[in-house]
Amino acid sequence: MVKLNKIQKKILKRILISIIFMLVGIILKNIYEFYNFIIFFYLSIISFLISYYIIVKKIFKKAINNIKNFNIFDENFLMLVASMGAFIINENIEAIMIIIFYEIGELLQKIAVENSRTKINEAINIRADYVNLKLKDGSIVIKDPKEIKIGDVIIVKKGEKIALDSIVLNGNSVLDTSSITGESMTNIVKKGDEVYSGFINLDSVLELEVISDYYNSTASKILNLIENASLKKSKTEKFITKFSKVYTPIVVIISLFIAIIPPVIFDESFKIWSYRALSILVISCPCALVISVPLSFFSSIGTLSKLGILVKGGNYIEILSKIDMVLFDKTGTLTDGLFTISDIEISDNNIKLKSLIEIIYAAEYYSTHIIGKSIRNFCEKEYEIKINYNDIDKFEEIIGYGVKLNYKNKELIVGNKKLMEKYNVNLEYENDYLNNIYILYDSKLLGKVKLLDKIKENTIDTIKNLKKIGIKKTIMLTGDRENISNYISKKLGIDECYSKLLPMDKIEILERKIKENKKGKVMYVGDGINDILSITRADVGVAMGKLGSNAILDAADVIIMNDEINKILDAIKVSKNTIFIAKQNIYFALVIKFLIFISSIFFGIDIWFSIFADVGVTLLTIINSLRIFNTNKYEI
Amino acid sequence: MIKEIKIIGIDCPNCYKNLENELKKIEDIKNLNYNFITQKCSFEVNDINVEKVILNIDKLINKLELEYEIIK
Repeated sequence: MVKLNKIQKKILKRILISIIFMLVGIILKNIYEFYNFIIFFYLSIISFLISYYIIVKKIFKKAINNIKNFNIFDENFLMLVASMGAFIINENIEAIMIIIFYEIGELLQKIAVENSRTKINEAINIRADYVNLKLKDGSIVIKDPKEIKIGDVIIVKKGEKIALDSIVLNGNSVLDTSSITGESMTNIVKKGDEVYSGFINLDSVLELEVISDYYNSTASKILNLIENASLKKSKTEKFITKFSKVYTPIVVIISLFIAIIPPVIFDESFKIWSYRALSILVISCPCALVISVPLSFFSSIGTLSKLGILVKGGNYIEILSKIDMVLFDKTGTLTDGLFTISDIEISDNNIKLKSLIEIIYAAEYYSTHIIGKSIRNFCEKEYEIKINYNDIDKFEEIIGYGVKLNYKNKELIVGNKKLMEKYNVNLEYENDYLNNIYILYDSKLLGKVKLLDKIKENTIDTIKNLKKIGIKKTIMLTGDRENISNYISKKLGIDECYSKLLPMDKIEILERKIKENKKGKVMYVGDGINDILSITRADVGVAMGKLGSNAILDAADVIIMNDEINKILDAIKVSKNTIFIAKQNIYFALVIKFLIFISSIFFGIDIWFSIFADVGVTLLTIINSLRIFNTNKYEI
Repeated sequence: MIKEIKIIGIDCPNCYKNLENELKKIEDIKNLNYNFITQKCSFEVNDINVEKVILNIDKLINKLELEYEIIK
């Protein structure tokens, strides 16, 4: 059941009382017609007037208010004129019903808007209302999050939201990060881990040290973005506002002509033509457009935020729907900064692959470098290598080169070409040496490991699906070396690849592409600070999953809260769907209204029919807009 | 001081803009920020003028037949 708020209840009450008086009026009128007592006639008129007064009062006030503000021709005015006209030509019941139906439509609209508003608020319900502050004497007091300062210690119990960005001081727990990252994923945290505001504690009590005040906490920043999103209007919304400003006065003037010209010039019945004119006034109400179009964009922003995609305004929804070229940064966007092993080459024929891998694994066993970690992961996953770590001795990391250690009492050196040169190993010339790791064991070169950037999960599918939804060209921009970049872009199915770029080169290419791509819009997806310029310059700049970086949050038009590249698919799809639905509503409303408009002029349509058609169209467009919330069909 | 009120009953972005403009016209109100989604309106006001400002808001909102509640 729909719960009504105070104002909605008031409207409903007014409508009901007005209907009761109207019914009384109808009964009295019938009695008068039956018995012919004049007193009943007057009583019925009084009943109608009371009914009319109750229902029309608010609209009358609004219309007067608008006239004072030199904003005469709006829906209220239209309805007021139509109903007063009906009263004058003695169609009392119609006069009342025009307003009653208009009010019912308004009521339903209020309920629908409230409904989407609740949904958006649910989607962005990430702000905690209170904090358990731990005082120095160990006692706990409940405080407003705004009063908490950096360095304060707070307690978060099971089921509670974390109010401010913090670091875990004590306790282990599982956190629900979905409200921030949009993913129904849980995160295990322990002492020393950073946690963001908006996460929900699912397990045991955590003691946290606050590292950012309320206004700079992630949740607040994200909320500000969404709250301000409704201010940036899309072109369609602006168009509708302008359109209704021009449209309404025109309609009023046309109706006036229709009421006057046929009776005056062709000597037709004044009553018939003024009735028709009123019918036209009713059907011409632009409510359906004025309400449903902003509602569509509003719903769209809410839907996307629920998916973990923040869009900074309705205008970007529009641009997103027109994207046909996407430029990507490589590292951090398409690849996740880790490496995978593409190949292991053996140079010494006396050694078996398995024992070579064992040696590599031992070498990287204590390594803290990202390459070391990547190699270790690979060995564990692919070969289930186990070693006795007592065999490892004198491990040392040579920063920028590799590692050196004793394994089974023999010297083991694993590292890049520069390291090999240090140890006087002659290597054949290779053009992709930088990501090769050589294994030198007991002064013998055993082989090398070829490393490749690790491609993020879903990237290949995302690129493929982008093509399916109409993206004509995908381009990769990177500062990395040519052959590696080309290899990766080919593997991903990316159309063009530009490598060895400095940030300024990226901008240059981006600008050139924007110029070349006149029809569609260009999107740039990046993750790091070095992408900020490009993110700002593109038609739509998308920033991926770097929570807490202010500069990026400010520069980007769309923010993807987690690290998943496939969210850009969702963003484009939801936007396309939004525009489709908004257009559907506009055409539907205009066509129906135009047909009835024409019929009213030539055949004369009952005012009742106009009222139903107008309210009906408005409701259908509202319901249609709510389809945007249904994201099930976006799943691939 | 910063005040925050919740205004209930505005359901179209156009009326919302109008109301925001009207609110901004009220004397002694500074940095008014009114949000359509959350329905919350926050503004800065001098401690001395609080009552007067709230009274004026009350008048305006009643005139428009809306409801409001003071959050803080």
